[in-house]
Amino acid sequence: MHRFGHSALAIYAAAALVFIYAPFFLLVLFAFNTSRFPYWPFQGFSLHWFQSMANGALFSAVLNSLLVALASSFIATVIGAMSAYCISRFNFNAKNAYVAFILLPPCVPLIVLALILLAFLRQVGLANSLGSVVICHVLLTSPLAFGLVRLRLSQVDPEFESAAWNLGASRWVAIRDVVLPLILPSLVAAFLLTMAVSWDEFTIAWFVSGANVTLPVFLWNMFQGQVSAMVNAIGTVSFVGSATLVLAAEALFFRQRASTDRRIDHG
Amino acid sequence: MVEPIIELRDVVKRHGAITAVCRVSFSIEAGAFVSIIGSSGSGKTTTLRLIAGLEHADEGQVVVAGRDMRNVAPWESETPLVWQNFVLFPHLSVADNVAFGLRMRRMDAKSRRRKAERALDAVGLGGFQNRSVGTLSGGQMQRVGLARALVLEPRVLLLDEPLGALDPPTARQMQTELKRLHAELGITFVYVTHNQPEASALSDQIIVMDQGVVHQIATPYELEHRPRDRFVARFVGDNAIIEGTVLSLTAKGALVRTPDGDIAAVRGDCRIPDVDAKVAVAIAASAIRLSEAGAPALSGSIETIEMTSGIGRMTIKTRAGTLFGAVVTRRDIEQCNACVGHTIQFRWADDAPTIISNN
Repeated sequence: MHRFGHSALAIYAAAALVFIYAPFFLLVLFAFNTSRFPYWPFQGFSLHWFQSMANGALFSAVLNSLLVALASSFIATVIGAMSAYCISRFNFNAKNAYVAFILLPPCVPLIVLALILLAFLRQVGLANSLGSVVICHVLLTSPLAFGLVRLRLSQVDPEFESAAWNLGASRWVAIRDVVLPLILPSLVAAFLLTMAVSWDEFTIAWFVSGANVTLPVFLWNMFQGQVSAMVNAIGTVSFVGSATLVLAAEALFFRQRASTDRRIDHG
Repeated sequence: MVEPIIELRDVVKRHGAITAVCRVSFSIEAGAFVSIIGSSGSGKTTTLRLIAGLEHADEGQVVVAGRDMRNVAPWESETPLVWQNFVLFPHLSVADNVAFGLRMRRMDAKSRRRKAERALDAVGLGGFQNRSVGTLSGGQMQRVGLARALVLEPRVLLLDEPLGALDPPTARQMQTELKRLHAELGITFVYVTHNQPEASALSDQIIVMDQGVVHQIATPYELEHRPRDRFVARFVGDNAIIEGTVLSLTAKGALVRTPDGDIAAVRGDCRIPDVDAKVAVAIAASAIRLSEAGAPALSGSIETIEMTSGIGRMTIKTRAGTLFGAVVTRRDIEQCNACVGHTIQFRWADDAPTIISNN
């Protein structure tokens, strides 16, 4: 009975994984298909769609996306880390309300958030620029960075800082020489994850980017005009990129946790 | 009279609604080994953190090496702390941990390394410089913690239950090491522990705290033989406590009438009581002798006998109902043929009974 339960569970898990990953697999598969349409049967192997990616508009969209992702994830990580430090080391009035406030943006439906942001950015004269996309992505992803760094900080004994002070380190030096090295993996993880989110984000970018389209917006616009299997090729490249970022972030974050837990066992 | 290096005057420290330290005053002489003992929540660690400058007093004054700590930031205190759970920086090597404080004092890398190596040699960890702290045993970690503090050549070393996280053999070894280091360095050690035998073995002076209040400041000998109040008599020492009234005053104290007979008691650390005043008398278990024939003695029935490797403790209940503890050897027990339920005669050293304040 127990054994049967185990294998049933294994089959269920495998089915779920297949269900989730089949589209990705087909995407990659049809990126190498000669036909323009993603229909069975497979027409023949071709690198045509990858070659057709070499055009100026696509490159500028990729460049835009890259710039936005780098800038927004850097800013989001800094803001998230600073808030996380504040929350985990200080007590102040309405702390829980402040935390809820920090975590709010991703809870608003994207389309609503996008409309509000567009209206706001237009009012202050920042709409239709890459900068506006960066601002919006910071808003969307800094809670994620906050969460990751806060989790890590909760595992770092505040006494490390007290010990550093006791040995002559000022508040700032203690943060720089003791806290930052201990939470570095979570900072890198936060940077990579927020970058992955920004890289993929379509809704807000579509509203506020104006003429400076990012990659997801470029793909959308391309689909409006024609059906091209080039989208599969772009999707494949993009998916590989995002997946690498996420896997790198997870590997870093969890490896560090495991090694810290070992150390704590010793103590 | 040696100049006090640490002085607390009517210090109060509150943590939210809790008063962790309540009107505490004491002074510590330079070069002394002083322990603060108490259970958890007694305020002993808070007192240490106040001396370390990690916390600031709400009221009163903390003076360390001539400096009023009110105006001293935690990083300006120059009183390094050795922590119970080591708190070594996991991202730094052993040598970098030890040299951390020197780096904060902007010493150049070469002198830092030399001093760190010397400090590690002094605590018996020569050759461990490049090890990662995660690979050390508890005892080794605490040695690094000691080296990290001592490398700064402080006038005062603060130790917060430094043996608390170590297994008993390692703790015993470290205890000897601490005593040796104190004798060698000649600096002031302030040592916080809940372990009274540990404090007695190490200290010149012991400060007993409970619930934020100081109960007694005394040498280990006095603490054992001259408790000041019921708390110290019961929870620090192992004393029988007998209630009575003062019959007459004597040169050393008073004659006290108790249900167990009249007892000549010595005035300890409390004020001289008046005739007819109600007092309590404490008699230490270590002062009780199972009686040889002829000696004036009290008798009682044996309630319990607990032996641990040759030495043990017996409890004896007198007819008046007082419970006496007695430290006994296996030989005592064999000589008196003692076993639970038997009646036995016992007496105490003449200067053992101590008048304690009756509250």
